[in-house]
Amino acid sequence: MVGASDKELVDLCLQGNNKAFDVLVDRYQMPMYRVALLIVKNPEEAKDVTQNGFIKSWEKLRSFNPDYKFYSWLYRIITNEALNRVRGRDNLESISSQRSNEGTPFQQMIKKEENRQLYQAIEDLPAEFRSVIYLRHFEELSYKEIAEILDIRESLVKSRLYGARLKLRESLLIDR
Amino acid sequence: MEKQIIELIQAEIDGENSPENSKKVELILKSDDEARSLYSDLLEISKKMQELKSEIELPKGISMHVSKEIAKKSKIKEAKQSKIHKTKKEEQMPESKLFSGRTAAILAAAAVVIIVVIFSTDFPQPEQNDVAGTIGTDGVEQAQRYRGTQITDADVSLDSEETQQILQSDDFQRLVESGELKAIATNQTFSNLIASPEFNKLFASPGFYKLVASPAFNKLVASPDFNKLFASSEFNQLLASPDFNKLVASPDFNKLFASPEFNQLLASSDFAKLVASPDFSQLMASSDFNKLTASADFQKLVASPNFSQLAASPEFNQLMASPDFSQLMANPTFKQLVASPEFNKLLASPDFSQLVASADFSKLMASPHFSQLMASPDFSQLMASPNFNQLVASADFAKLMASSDFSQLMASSDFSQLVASPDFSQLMASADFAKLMASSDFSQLMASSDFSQLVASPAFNQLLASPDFSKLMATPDFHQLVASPDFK
Repeated sequence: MVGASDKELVDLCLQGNNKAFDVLVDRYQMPMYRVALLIVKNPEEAKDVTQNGFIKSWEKLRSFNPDYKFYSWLYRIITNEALNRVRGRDNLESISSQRSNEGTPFQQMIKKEENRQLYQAIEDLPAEFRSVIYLRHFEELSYKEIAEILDIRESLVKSRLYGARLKLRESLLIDR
Repeated sequence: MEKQIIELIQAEIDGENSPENSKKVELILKSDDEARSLYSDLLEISKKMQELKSEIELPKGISMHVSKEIAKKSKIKEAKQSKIHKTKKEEQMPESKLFSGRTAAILAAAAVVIIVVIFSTDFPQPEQNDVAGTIGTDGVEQAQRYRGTQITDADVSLDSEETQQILQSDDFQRLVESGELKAIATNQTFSNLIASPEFNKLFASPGFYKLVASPAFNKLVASPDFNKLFASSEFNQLLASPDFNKLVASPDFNKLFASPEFNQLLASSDFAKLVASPDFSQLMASSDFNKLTASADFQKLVASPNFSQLAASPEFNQLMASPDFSQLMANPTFKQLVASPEFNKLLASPDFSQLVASADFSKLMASPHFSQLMASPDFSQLMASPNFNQLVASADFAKLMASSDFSQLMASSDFSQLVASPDFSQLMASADFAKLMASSDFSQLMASSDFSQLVASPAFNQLLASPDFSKLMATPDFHQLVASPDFK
C-alpha cells in the first residue's frame, strides 16, 4: 500500500480502509507540519494544527475532487486550519529553531538569530509571496506543481517568486 | 536587467532550466556583473531557506495521533449509522465478521440475479409476439420481463435500523446455517463477482440504493408470488443454464438495457397499465403461448435479418401497412412459422384475442415510448443476436415461462408497481448496472451450481420473504459493508 498513488489511497479510504489514510499521513505529515509551523510559529501548536488538519481532511474526504491533487487539497485545509489559529492573535510568538544546538554556544546563538531574521523576513512577505516561497523552498515543488496547488498560471508563479526573492534580498542581504 | 535574463537566472536557481538554457546562463554570468550579483544573492537566499528547512524537525506522534483519532471516529460513525454488531466479539473473530459480510453480499447478488433473470425472460416474449404478427403482444411480454428484473434490485436494499433485527432473526440464522449459503460463500466465482468493480459500483450507485429502498420494491420482495417464483425449480434451472448466462453477458443485451428508449418505455404509465391487466397475465400463462415461444420455427424467424429490419422500422406500429412487413411476409422462414401448429394455436386462443382487444394493449401500442424502443438500433441488435435467440429457444426458458409461479408474479400488483416506479427506470438506465451485467464475473456466478442451489433453498427464500430482510436492505450500513475492502 505504501507504493500506491494518492488517488488509489483516497479510493481505499472512501471504501472504509483507514490504513490507507495512515499511509497518506506518513507521506505528507512533514510538509504539512512545516507549512503549519510557518504560519503559527510554535512547534506544539503546529503539531496540533497538522493533526487536526489531517483529521478534518479524513472527515471531508468525500468532498475531495479526484481531478485535483490530494496534496493541494490537503495543503489548503492545513493552511486554513493554521490561519484560523493565528487570526486575532495580537502577539505572534517567534518561531524558535529546534535544532540550533550544534557548535559553540556563540555559534548557536548566531544561527538562532539568523533563523529568526529569516522567519521574520518570510513573515513580512505578502501572503501570495509567502506561499510560493514556502512551496518552492520548503517543499521543493516545480513551478508547474506550485501553479496547480495555488490554482494560478505558471508565469504568475515565476513573477511572485521573483518578487518574494527581491524582498527577501532586501531584508536579509542589502545591509551586509 | 532584461526580463528574459532574470527568468533564466531564477530558473537556474530552481533547477528548471534545460541544459541549453543553463549554458546561456553561464555565458551571461561571465559577462554581466549585475546578473552575477543577482544570481549570487538568489543562490544565498536559497541556501538559507534550505538550512532553515533542515532546522525543522517533525515532532513525534502526529501519525499515531491521527490514526487513533480516525479509528475512534470510524467506530462512532459505524455505531451511529448501522448499529451492526461490529463489536469486540467480531474483532476477536474476524472469520465470523467476514461471513456476515459475505452473507450480505450473497443476498445482494441474488437480488441482482433475479432482476436479470426476469428481465431477460421478458425480452423473449416480445419477440414471440412480433413473430406472430401481433405487435401488441410482443410489447407486453417485454414489459413484464423487464419488471421482473427490477424486483431483484430491490432485494439488495437494507435499512440500518433494522440490521441487527435481521441478523438476529430466525430466518437469517437458518440461512446462515444452511449448507447452500456456506457453499456459495466459499465459491470462487462468487468471490470474484463481489470483488469485481462492476458489482461494487452498482451496489454503491444511488439508483440501486433508491430502488431497493422504494416501497414498491419491498412490497414485491415480500409478496408470496415473488417468493414462489424464486423458489421454483424452473426459475433456478433457467438461472443455471448456459444460454441465459450467454445472453446476460452479451453486449447487445446490455446495450438495450442502457438505451434511453427502453427506459422511457419502462417508465411510461401505459406500459405499467398493460402489465397489470388481467389480459396480459392470462396470455403469459397460456400453454399455447409458451409452446410457440419454444418452437424452432419461431426461433428461426426471430434470427432472420428481415425480422430485425422490421423491428427497427419507425412504422412498426403500422406494421401491416409498412413495406418492411411485406418483406417479412415474403420470407420463407416466416411462412414456415405462420404455418406451424404452435403459431396457429396461439392465434386462435381466446387469451390472445383478449389481450389484443384490451384497451391497455392499444394504449401501449400507441404510446411514443413503445415506438421509440422498437425503432432503436439497440433493440434490433438484441433481437438479432444469437445469444438472445439461443436463450429463447432453450427448454429452461420455456419451462419458466410456462410455470404458474411466473405468471402469478407477472400478474401481481406489487410487480406492476415496482416496474412503474421511477427508481427502477433510473437503475436500469445506469451505466453501473450495464457494466455489471456485462462482466464475466457475473456470468460465471450465474452459471455456478452453488449459486443456483442457494437460490432454490428454502432457507434463502424464507429470508427473502421476511419483512426484516426488506428493512435491512434499505440501510446504508449494508451498502457500506459490501463496499468495504474487508468485505472483499
